[in-house]
Amino acid sequence: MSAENPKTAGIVPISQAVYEVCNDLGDYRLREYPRFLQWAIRAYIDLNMYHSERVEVAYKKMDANGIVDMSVQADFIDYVKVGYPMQGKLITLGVNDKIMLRRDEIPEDVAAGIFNGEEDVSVLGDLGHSYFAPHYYNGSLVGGLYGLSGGSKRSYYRFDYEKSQFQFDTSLSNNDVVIEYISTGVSPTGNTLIKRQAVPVLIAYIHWQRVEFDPRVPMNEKMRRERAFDAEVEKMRFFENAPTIQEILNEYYKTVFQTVKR
Amino acid sequence: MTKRQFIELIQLRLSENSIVADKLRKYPYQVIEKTVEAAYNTNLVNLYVRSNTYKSDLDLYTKTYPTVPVTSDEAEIPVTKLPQLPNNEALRYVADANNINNPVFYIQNYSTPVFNRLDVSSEMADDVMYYVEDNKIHLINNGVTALSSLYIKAVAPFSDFTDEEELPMPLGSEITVYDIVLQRMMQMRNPDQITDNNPSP
Repeated sequence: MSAENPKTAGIVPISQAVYEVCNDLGDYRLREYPRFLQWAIRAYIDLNMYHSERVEVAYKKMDANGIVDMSVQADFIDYVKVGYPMQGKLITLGVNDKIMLRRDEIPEDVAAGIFNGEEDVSVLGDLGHSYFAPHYYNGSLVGGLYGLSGGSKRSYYRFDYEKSQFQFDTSLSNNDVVIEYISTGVSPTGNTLIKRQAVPVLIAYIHWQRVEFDPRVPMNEKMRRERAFDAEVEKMRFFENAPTIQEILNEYYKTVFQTVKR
Repeated sequence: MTKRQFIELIQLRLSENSIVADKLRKYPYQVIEKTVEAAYNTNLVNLYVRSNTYKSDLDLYTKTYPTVPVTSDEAEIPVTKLPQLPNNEALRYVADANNINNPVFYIQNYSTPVFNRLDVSSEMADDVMYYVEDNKIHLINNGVTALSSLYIKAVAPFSDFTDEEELPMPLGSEITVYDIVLQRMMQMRNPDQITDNNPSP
C-alpha cells in the first residue's frame, strides 16, 4: 500500500453512520438526525459492552484513603483489570469482596481503619493469603523474605458501584494504579470517534430500529432487519477476534517438541 | 407561465374569449386568484402525497431566503404563512447563513426534554437545533454558536408569488389546475366520486 493520500479514514465520527443511513434512504433533510444519532450511540455502547475486545486504560493515583475515584471517568462501565505498572508490564491486583466500603455513616476513625496503610501487617495477615507483608523501611522497599518472590507491594481492591470508586486496602508505591475498563466508547463531551469496522453495524442497527416500533411494518421485515444487524455484528466480531497467522503459528510452535519419533 | 398570465387565461376563457371589459368584469381578477390558489394548493398536496418517500418533488416549489435575521433565538419564517404539510415538510432546510453546509437540525416542538436526557445531547453539544411554532423558527442550543442569521429554504404559499413571477408547476399539471378553476367558476357539476358500480339512487 502506498503512502499516497487521500485514503478513507479508518477512524470516523459516530455521525458517519447516521449520514450513511440518510444517504441509503435518499433523505437529505436531516429531519431524523438526533433520533438516528441516539440509536447509533446505543448500538455502539452495546458493541463495546458485549462484542468488542477493546478496553480503555486510565492511569490514576490512589488518594490517602486508598480510594481511586472513577466517577470523573464518565465512560466507565466496568473494570477489566486493576494493577500497577512495573517495568512496562501491568501487575494485576486481586479482588477482595470483604473490604468494607466507605460510607458517610461510618465514623471517621472506623473509616480511616478501612485503609490501614502499608505498615499494618496484622490486618493484612488476617486476610489469610500467603504473601509477605508489604513493607517499607526508611523509604526503601524491604522485600527479602525467604521463599517468596517479588519485592513489590501487593494490595487488594473492591469496586464500589454506588460511589463509582475503587477501595484499596493498602497503598502502592507512588500510589500509581492502572485501570483497564470497558468503556461506553462514547465521549461524554461529544465528537465521538469510532472504529471503521463498527460503522456497518450501526447502519444496520438504525435501519432495524427505524421499523421496529412501527406497527404498520410486518414482523417478517422487522426480523429480516434484525438478522441483518446480527450478521453485521458477527462480521465485526470476526474482524476483531480472528487470530493473525503469526498468533496461530506461535500456538502451533509452542506445542512442537523435539522428541523421539514414534 | 406567470401568475398574471395564468389568471388572465382563465378570465378570458370564462368571458368566452371576449376581451370586452364588461364581460371580463363579470369575473373579477381577485376572485379568480383565490380560486386558483385553492386549486394550486390541492395540486401541491396531491404532489406531496404522490411524490417519492422524502418529498424531493417539493424542491420545485421551494424558495431560498439566504439571510433571515435571528433575534433572541427566534427567526420569523420569511413566508406569509408556511403551507401546512405533515411533519413541517414545507420547511425544507435551515442552516447557518454564514456557512450553508452547516445545518440546523430539526426537532419536534416538544422533544428537547427527552433529547436533553439522552446521550445524544452531549454528542450534539455544538449543534444548533430548531423547532417550529407560530410561523417562527425557535433555536435550541444556540448559546455556543450564537447564529445571528439563517439560510432558509421553504415552500412558498401561492399568495407569496407576485403577478409577474413564474408559477412553479410540474409539467402537465397546469391544465389540471386550469380545469379545476373553470369547474368551480362555471358552477359545473363535479365528476362523480363514487367508486362502486352501483347506479346512483
